[in-house]
Amino acid sequence: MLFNSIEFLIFLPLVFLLHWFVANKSRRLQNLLLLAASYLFYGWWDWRFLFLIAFSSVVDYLVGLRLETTSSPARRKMLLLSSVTVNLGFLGFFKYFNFFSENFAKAFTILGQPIADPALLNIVLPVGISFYTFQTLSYSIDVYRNKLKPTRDPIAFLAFVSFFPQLVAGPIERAANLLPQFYEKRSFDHDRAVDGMRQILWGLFKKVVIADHCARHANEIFANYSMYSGSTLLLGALYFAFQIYGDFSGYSDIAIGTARLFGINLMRNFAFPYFSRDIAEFWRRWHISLSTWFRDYLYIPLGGSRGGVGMKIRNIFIIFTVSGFWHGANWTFVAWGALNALYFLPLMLLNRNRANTDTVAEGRLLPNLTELFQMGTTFFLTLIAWVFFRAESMEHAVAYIAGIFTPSLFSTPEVLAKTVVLGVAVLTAVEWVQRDKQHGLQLDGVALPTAVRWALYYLIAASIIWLGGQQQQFIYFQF
Amino acid sequence: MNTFLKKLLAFVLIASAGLLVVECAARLMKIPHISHHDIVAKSQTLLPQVDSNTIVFLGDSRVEWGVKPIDVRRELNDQEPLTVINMALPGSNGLDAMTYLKQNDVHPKLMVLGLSGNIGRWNNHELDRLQYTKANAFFAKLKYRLVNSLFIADRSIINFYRHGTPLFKSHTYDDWGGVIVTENGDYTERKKYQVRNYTGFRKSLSTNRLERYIHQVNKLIQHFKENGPTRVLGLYMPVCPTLYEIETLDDELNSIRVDRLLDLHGLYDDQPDESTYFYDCSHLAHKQSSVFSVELAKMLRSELGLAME
Repeated sequence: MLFNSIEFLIFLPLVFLLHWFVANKSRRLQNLLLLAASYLFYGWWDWRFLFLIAFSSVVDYLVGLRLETTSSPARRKMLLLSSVTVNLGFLGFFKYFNFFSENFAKAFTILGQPIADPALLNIVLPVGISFYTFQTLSYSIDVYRNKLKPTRDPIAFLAFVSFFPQLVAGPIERAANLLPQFYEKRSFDHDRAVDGMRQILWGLFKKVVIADHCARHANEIFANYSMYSGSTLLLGALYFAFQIYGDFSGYSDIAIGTARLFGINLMRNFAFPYFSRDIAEFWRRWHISLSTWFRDYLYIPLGGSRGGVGMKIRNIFIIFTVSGFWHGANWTFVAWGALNALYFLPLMLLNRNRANTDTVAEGRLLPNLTELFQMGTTFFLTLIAWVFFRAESMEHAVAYIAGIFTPSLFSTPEVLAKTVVLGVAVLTAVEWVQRDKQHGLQLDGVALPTAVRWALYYLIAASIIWLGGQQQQFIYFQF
Repeated sequence: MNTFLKKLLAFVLIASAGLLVVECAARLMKIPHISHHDIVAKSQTLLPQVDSNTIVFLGDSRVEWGVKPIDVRRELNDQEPLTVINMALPGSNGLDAMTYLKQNDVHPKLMVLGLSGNIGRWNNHELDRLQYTKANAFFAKLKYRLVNSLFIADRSIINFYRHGTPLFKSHTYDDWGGVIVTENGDYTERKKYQVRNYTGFRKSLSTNRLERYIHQVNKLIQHFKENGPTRVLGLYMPVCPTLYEIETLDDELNSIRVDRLLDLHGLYDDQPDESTYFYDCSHLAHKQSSVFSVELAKMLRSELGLAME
């Protein structure tokens, strides 16, 4: 079920009313309702894949219980390994089998032993598998590390794994944050719910008005890159940058806002990343739940920033390329990760990776020239990296980038969708003003008359209804 | 909770009242509905219905307007119960629906792919395999009914009045993807509009894009031939001679490896009054579409192994 669909428009109010008026008798009922709603939400796409979530959840629940009663380090390791094997096994099978099969065949061909017909699976990638497997995996690892007490409440655990607002595209929640919220009966908080509604509205605006329009032009330019001038190709990368931002941060806003309607706080996933002054700051602000997941469960166990220069470089490259590979079974994603590692490395080696941890131009309306230059450079580097992310193959990405850096870069773009550019400008301006807030439409502490607030809500709602682009799937569903 | 619900209700009621005012005003002023580009609703409703017993028509608006599934089915179903679906979309190059069917491992009995001289300009709508599921079909229909009956639900109306064309007043689908168009202006004006369009298309035609299309479509055709019993036919819809002269690309069309190309571009060349047959020189007129669909169905009999009448 898509957030921007009629189904969801009916589903959400129904679950909301049931949650607060029928299931409000007990925590158990509330959890049961959210579990049933989440399974319906996911099964709407393809009910067969519900067994996959259920199986993965049951394995991790049982592993958690056994870890509590097992003191032998070898046995504990085995239990953790079984959870890792099941979760990464599913992920590997559904997402990466064909990639490895094709690449082994290519490697053998290079070695003079061609494999004419490599084994390929004709299977559908279950939506959100990368998200929920990481979420449930974090539970097993935390229990193994004795950082978390395993739950004895199977309903709460199943609801934690499948909680519908963030099931298919995150934020990838940690058990330590989300699971305890299923242990207590939730009570309605008016201010939280109102702000949740605003966040949903803003998320929809980003998705429907910005991302879906940008998608049309980005798709056209990326598909026919050889026809276009350097300036248009650069514009195509810009459209994609705002498409993916509007799409993914929009989804996160809707997810977080929806969760708040049910009295549940999800972690922040985006913190206005395009206002970052360096790549390290960008990665603290972009897809925060994934970055911190890799930091906690991969980077730090590898040694993090301790050790010699060689080890630091190795760890940076591992975490970025694995993060790239997490996005998809294609070398372009690996290249995207590696390019970001290259951007990040100088900051790390010069110990400048935490130079910008505050809000840019704090307390001022406009940035100074240095900040503007820093933001511009970071955005441009990100833009080039997005080309790899969006391209269909490495050849496509290289040819696209080569096409940008030609004399035609200084010509007038052939595709300048003025209304889309205007939409992007409005988004940027609003988010700039709101950059010290949690989301673009957070109005707590802002002195606005009620009539103006409501007019603003209607204006955004009207633009969602009438100015929305052709309905597109959320990009991150495919991951 | 009560305050929250009251506010929410007030918000929805005011919004509904506002929408009602806009709807009534639009009706009083007789502003027409458009809804010609609601490809999501059409695809969500129809794509999940395609199966191995289906004849599916793909391509652009020429096929979309010109082939009436209901007439094709009526002509063929005396001998075999077949589903006939018109999955052509405005400006589509056919790759969208073919890719969807491939990804979902659907092998229709017969696939009729609309081809014409401007395939190098056509779009790929990149239909989303997750959206077009059977579970979504009910709500897609609901949405589609709303879009077809309410001015305020017809989102494309905004674009229409911004970049309006003199082509038609309204454009609605039937349950099988056939199209009903309400005329606007006279034939000469519509033809002039299309000639101007296609002259522009021809000038901006990219060889790269054309080659890319041919490569992609051939790969998809090969998939359907190798993995299922699907027969793939090419269909060049009738167009008026003026337009055909502008757009002809014989070599390129011949390199598309369909099982058979039904080149019907000159079917009505000898007729004295082309406005009886064509809506705007590019598309068939509404009544003629039904006649043509029956003629086409007769041609398809042999492809389906049915006896000729």
